[in-house]
Amino acid sequence: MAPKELQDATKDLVESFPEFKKSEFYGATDSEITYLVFGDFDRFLLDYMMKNLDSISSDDLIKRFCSFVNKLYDSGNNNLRELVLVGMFEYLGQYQISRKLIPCLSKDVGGKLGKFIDGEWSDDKKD
Amino acid sequence: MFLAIGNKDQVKQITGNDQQIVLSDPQQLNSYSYSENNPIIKSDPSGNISLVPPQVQVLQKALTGMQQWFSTFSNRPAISNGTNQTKEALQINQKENDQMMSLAMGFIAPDEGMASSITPEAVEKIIQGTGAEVRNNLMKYAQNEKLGNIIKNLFQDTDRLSGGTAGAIEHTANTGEMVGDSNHIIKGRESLNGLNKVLNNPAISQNDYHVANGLVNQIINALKKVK
Repeated sequence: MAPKELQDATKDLVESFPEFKKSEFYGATDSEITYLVFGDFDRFLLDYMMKNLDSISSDDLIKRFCSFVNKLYDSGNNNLRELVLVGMFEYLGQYQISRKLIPCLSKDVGGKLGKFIDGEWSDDKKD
Repeated sequence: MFLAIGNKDQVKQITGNDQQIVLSDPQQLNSYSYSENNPIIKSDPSGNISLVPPQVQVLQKALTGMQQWFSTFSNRPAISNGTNQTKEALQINQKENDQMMSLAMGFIAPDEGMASSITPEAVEKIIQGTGAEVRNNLMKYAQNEKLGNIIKNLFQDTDRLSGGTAGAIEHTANTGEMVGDSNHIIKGRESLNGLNKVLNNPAISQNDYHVANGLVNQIINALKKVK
């Protein structure tokens, strides 16, 4: 499942990841403002990965995450694409452990995350 | 002596001081003592009142802080071996320890809690910096968890531009160049909504107010430059 519009993103995120809704990370910042919920989800995901270091490549939640993000990015909606880049990858890109997510993302999306991790974005020109 | 007299007017007549002063510092009754009989710690250049030099005040503050630190440390649960602790939890422990040591060393006044106070001018200066530097400095003062998470979202370790999300919005508005392949406008607006919610909390601390308000002004100024 993946949203078509930005206002649907939080609802679909929570439905796709019931583990997140049950965690202390959900609503830690806000449960209504999309970018803040996705920031909290980033912290949930990093915590999850650190607790499951040995099984990340085959983990069900990680696979669902990659599928969800690929669909968001490829939805054709610029706001959703920006949510992936600025609302998720910008935060995840601070942590080297996020590199473990790249193999399960599509080539294009994984490449974007890699750029955040490597800090290669500030010289970008507008297309 | 004054307890036997029992009359505040008589106390003043005999001692030359109000009863309240005499009760709070009876050593002042002894006109022949120097610095309350503590000439090593105190001085009395005027001969009327003993003073504690600034250096001694710092040591006294440090001692009070050390006492608080030992008290808190001894009441903390044992730290696990680390295998189950997340990086964030470790960072929280580190921050707590840093604050405790600052408290112990007298850099933070004990009566001001874990964080000293910050002015709007200081916030404005801090947020002109870059990424992790801004985040770490603001986090020293932000007590509200929601505000702390918004700060974490706005300022990243990998930032190269100053000003975090606001800096990215401003950069794109001024140059047309995208940052992170995005213009950051929606993130700025949504963060603004979150900050306003923090500001609307009637129980907000003064530090949180100054930090949140500084960030709101920074983002609003950046968004104003977007055509």
